[in-house]
Amino acid sequence: MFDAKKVLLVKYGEISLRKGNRAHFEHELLDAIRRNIKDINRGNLRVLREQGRFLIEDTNGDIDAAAILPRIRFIFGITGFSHAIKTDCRDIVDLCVIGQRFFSKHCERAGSFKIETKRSDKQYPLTSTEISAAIGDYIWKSGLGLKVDVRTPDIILWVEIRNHVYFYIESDRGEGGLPYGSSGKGVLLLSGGFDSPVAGYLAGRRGVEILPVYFHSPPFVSPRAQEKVNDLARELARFTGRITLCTVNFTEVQLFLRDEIAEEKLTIFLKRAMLRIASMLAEKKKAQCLITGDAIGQVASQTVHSLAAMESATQFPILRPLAAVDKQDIINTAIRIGTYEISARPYEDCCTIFVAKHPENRPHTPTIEKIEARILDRLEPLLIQAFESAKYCEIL
Amino acid sequence: MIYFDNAATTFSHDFVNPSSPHGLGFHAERALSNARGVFADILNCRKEQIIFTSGGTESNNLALIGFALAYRRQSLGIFAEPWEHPSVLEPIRFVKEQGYASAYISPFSETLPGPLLSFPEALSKKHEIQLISISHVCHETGCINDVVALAKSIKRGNPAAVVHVDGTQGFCKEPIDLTDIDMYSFSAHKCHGPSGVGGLVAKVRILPLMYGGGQENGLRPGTENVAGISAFADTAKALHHSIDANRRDAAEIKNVLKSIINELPDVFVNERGNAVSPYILNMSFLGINGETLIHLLSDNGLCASMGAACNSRKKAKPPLELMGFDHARALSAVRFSFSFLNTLEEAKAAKGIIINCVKQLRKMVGR
Repeated sequence: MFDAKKVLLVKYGEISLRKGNRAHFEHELLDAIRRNIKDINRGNLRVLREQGRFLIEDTNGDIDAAAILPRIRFIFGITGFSHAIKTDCRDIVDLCVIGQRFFSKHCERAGSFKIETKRSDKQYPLTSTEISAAIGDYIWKSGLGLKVDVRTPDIILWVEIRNHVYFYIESDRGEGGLPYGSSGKGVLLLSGGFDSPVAGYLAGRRGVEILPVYFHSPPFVSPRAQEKVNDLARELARFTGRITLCTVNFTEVQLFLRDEIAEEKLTIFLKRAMLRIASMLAEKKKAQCLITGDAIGQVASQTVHSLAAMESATQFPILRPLAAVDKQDIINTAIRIGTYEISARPYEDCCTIFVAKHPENRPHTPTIEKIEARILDRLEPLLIQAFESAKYCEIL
Repeated sequence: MIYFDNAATTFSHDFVNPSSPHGLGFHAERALSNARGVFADILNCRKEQIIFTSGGTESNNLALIGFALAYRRQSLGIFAEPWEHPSVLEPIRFVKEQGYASAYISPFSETLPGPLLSFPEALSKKHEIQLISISHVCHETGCINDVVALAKSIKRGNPAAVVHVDGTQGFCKEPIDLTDIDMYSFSAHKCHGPSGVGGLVAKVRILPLMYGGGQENGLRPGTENVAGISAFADTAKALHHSIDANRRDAAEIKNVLKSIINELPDVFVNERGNAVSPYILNMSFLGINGETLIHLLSDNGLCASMGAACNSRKKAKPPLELMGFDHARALSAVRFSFSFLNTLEEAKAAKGIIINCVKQLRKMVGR
């Protein structure tokens, strides 16, 4: 009669605010959850909508949260996971008993408690406050020896009245953000460094589908640098699901620019050439923006002057999620998302060859554009050739 | 047979734990002892002077740190040249940092063996004991140090001096006589033996770096890698008998590649002195980066490297520069190294690949 089984309640934050697209977002998230637990689902795991939450339950009984969480905790758009019990009882007297039983197993070290009720089933005869009061009163009198403290309780018992009734105390945080792909597509200029993978992660978390492009310069760059980028893309794919890495052979372009451009201006021109090729990819894949790991002032080519001198190389907006982020904060994020160790491998990427020790840090945009205009008729075919011979690699 | 000694070593058709008291253990122990005999014969030392290790790096560490630990209460000076392998230099830096010894890392073999007579004498007043560590064959250039004459001259000038030879690149490739040499490191995978096996000959007192079940006279405890050691012994035995023939074959291969200097401008062979291993050829191709060339060679089916692979990821002054070759030469250097498995046909094909790649790269970089 007081049957209750362990389930996972999945919370998603912001998407519930977007009235128009809500159903679409929910569908994407449900899909992502189902896809990620597919390998352990023997027909026993069900993922259902539950009035502003998702419910993951095991039709055979208690859910094995430890097996499921590692597979879904990376999904963008999920703000948290509650380790709940679910009951079909609705009578307040039954709920008091079930709540007290659940609570008594989790309150060992606590001195004070409080009940928080959410009632999304507005037909339920009692208000949230009345439910909290009833269950709180029952627990208080049940001899566990805990005080009620509504301001700074040691422990909170959450009660949610939805299609079913849920109790939980512990929750894990999710990645937050928006469902992957719900905000359009962007081409990510991915190098082997610390910044670009973090930029890709941040844009992905805001719902942008990531199309990473890597510029490889064999034989000047080790094949291990390519492997490093593959590994970075694989880390990103933990969050995003399958992604396709585009590798562009940049050697010819680089050699051409090295011959044509003064050493201290070379970086700017290399970056503009990369942006041009990235734009071709964006056009082909119907993306809406480019994403880079630029952080203001980190190196000479990232002064605001230098960033400004990049803009006219592309008709797409350039998103720079790290523009105003300090290096240490970038590193901390890289550590958290698992890209730090990979980025720390010592192989050079193409940005570091042929480049002057002291590149220009205040380029004059009109001058850059004028020089580029002079060589563009010879550069353009090389860019097109590089783009058309690009290799695509599906990474999961 | 029922094998109920899986806690000692789980059952294997090759060898089980040589310390186990049963028949299979005895079989393993005998195999280990036979292998030890093979190395004692090859190196002309006593069986109990051989300590099996996991390879050259461990042997060098055990020799240098083990010796420094044993003599840490006396005044000890350790001498080595700055282009030795990191598995020699790093242990020396370690014992220096720990305060067990003074370290002198500077060139001394350039004009071997003449003035070296005075080298330890000059320092003998400063330290009670001197340990000199020198490689038999330089892993970068293949230059051979006459370690036998060196040891002799050092001992004549200072009988208390101790000589350690890193034989990693020379073992089973160059003849060696350990009469005046006190410690000698060797490794299996540099001469077609398995990776993870090596040895140290120690005729002087050293202390172990690890403690445990007392194997290898207590100097290298841990269940012995009997399968690896036996395989190494088999290989070494075969190679030892054909040192001269193999050297001649390697020299022919080396000469083919060396002749590139006649066909391309600005190519140099990085060697000093007359005695150079036929197994190693270090060449510089001015104007191009050695690493870039290696990537291109690799794409064309030729594997070479820039010197010690163990060191290729660190950013330090390249050993060639320390040896006195200029920066441009050090930067554009590639090391080709050979074995008895290579053929003259391979050498001719490789020569073509190298010439093409160098031309291609020089064109790319506008030289």
